[in-house]
Amino acid sequence: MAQETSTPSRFHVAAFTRPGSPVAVIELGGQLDAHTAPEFERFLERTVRDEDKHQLVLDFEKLDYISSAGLGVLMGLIEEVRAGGGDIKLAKLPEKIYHVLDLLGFPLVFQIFSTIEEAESAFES
Amino acid sequence: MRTRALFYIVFGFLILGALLVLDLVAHSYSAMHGALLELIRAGLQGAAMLWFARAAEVLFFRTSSVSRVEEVRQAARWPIVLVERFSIVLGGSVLLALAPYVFTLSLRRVTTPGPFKIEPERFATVWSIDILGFLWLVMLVVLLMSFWQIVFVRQSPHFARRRFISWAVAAGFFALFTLWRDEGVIPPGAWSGSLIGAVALVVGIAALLLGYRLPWLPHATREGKQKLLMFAAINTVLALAALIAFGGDKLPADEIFERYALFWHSAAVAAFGTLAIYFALVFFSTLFTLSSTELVERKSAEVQSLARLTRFSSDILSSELLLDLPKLAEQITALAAEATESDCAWLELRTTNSFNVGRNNGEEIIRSYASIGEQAAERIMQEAEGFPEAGLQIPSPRGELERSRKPFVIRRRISNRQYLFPNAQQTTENRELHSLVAVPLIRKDEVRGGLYVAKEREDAFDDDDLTVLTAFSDVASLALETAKLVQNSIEKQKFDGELRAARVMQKSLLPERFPAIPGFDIYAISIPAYDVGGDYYDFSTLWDASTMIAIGDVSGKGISASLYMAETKGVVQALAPIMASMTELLDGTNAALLHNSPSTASLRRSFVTLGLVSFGKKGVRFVRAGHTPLLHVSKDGSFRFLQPRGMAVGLIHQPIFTEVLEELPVEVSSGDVLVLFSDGITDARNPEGKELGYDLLAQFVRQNLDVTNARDLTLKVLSSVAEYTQSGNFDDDATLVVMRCLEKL
Repeated sequence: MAQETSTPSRFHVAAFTRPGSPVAVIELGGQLDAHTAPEFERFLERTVRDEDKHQLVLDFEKLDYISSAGLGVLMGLIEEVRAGGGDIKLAKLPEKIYHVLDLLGFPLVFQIFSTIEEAESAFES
Repeated sequence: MRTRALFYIVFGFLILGALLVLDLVAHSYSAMHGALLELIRAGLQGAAMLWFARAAEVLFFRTSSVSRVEEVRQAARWPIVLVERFSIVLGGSVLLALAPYVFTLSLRRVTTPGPFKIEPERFATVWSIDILGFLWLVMLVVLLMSFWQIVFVRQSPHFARRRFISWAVAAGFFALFTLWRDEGVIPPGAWSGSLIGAVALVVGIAALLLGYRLPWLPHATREGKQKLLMFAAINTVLALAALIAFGGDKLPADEIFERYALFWHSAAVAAFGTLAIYFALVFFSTLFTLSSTELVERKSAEVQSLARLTRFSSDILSSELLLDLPKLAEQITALAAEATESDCAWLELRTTNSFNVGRNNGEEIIRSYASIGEQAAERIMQEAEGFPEAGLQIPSPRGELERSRKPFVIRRRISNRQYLFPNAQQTTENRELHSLVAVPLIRKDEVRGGLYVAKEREDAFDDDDLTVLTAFSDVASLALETAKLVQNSIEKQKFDGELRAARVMQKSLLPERFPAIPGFDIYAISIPAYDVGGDYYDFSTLWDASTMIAIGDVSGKGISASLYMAETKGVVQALAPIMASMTELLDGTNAALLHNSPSTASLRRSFVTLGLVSFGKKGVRFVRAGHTPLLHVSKDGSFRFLQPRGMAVGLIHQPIFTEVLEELPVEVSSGDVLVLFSDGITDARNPEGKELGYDLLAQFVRQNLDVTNARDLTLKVLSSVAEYTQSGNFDDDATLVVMRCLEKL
């Protein structure tokens, strides 16, 4: 199943779940800034609360830009997800975005993987 | 209304009944004859006619007065419609005049073989004559009232009434004299004949006077006039036919009518004669004014446009058009073209923008084009050599307006240059414009622009077009200027409100003075991208008396970010004097902010990055909580970015935060420059969307190493960044703190 929402050509987010897998892979694209962050937040909240998914892998491959507002969304939800026995793992970060996250010390809070599969299997262990 | 009309009609019938009784009595006793009887009869008939007329007025003319107002709006058409309708009335009269003749013919065929014989002695004859006569009277009423309508169209009522009354008096005298002569009151003879002839002449002159001025005729359209010609001719012929039918000696109608009432017979003759004269006059007047129709048509179009313009100008002062400047300009231009029936029109108007004084001295030019492209219009306005025949020493139409401050017409252009401009169908085609009218738009004694209309035809404009356009331009420039003022004031109000809030916020957050640090020159600047920023810088003194410079960037934007920033600043300010080191300070700040932050996830999505540089006994030290690195440019031009480990404040709880935090000493020599910056600087984009990046920032600093003053250096770097973006706009708050190590003397 896939749910999808988008702001024309600016920001794109979609979730994919493999049958039988508890892990939701959330694909991000475009610009995640102060304007699109609320949309991202609503999407994540829906996934976590309404669909009760607590194992999330964020695919950053197609994301061009992330602002602090976008990162704030992640920080806002990480504790709730972890309290529910899950985690948010980041995968396929473009260099520029990795740089931003690195500055902020995100690698110390979030696990970062170079592929989706690695991130998914990290949940199993 | 209806009941009143009914009352009038009943009253009219009662009078008519009295007439019948009178005839019965007169017939039975043969007591009264001659002129007296005729006059009494005429009086009774006249009275009946009057009441019927009043009924007709109530029923037809008063009720229709509302629609008449509407029809007067179509001023050109109404009189023609009246003349047209009059043909029906006249046609009816002629038919009525022929009715007795048809009646006798049929009688002869059906009953008695001899011709219809009128026998005054027979009572039935008298009555049937009365009824026929009554019908004629009604016809006469309708005739005169319809005529009254025509005569009064677009006339001054006072003037028209006077002429109508003098005509009626003349016709009355004519009828009276004829009656007296026929009844022998005035003995027949040469002088009585000339008297009646003289009165007839007066009636004719009065008739001519009635039709002397036809104020509505010039307003008729060509098509209307063609109709008018036809119906005026028909009406003249019909009136002549009726005149012969009633006034001739041979027709039975005449005989009956004469018997019935000599007075009214003569009045009818006078009326039909008048009508014949009137419509003949209309016919010839129409014929003679036919050639001037086009001129009049154009004038009336101009008048209409002016009227529309007047209405337009009163409309816009209260409408939302004043809030939509481009649309207003568009409408004005379109109206200018319409009013002068031009092929195209355009306007330009310089306005003052008191709010935005930065650009072009606060001047803004409003431009609008109707059926012409901007480039074509611009070429025409600038073209100097195009108008040698205009007899004007003009640099260009635009220049001429500036110089003479007066409207002018260019009747013929020598230039054969073709101008590309879109026609009404939005396709472009080549057309030449040969005639041009230019009118200055003047405000406060200054030419602020111009309104231009142009046609393809040569000599297509005259002085009247100037008049129309000048009137037009006054209203137009006033409306545009007003709209501009409205726009300015709205912008200003909006801006003022935001600015006040932003300024208050900024003032409370950013220090006004820079600390004196031995051996260093410090300057800092922060530019919020929106009204309120999320960046800040601050100075404090630490426990060990070293001076600390802090730079911070709150995630998010707007009010909530700035509130969070204020909180951070407060915490740092409060903790700085009691904490032994910057690391401890950040620890405490992180704890405080995490503790203060609401537990709901959706609310707690803010975090702060902080960069701290301290100057003290231990030298220069740098600690970084998620903030961008410290740029260190040495005097020799080499540079490095110091990026010690550290997480943003408000992200995570104590153990991890403290563990990763790393404090670095910075080795600074004289002439070196340290720069703290926010990501608003390095994320600034050029028009292609490419971010400035760290290296370019370092280059900007290197290029200005010779600037010894920290303030000037800061401004130079900032302007380099602004230049890079070209627009000068930052998407994010941009903050720079420059610390320059002074040369040791």
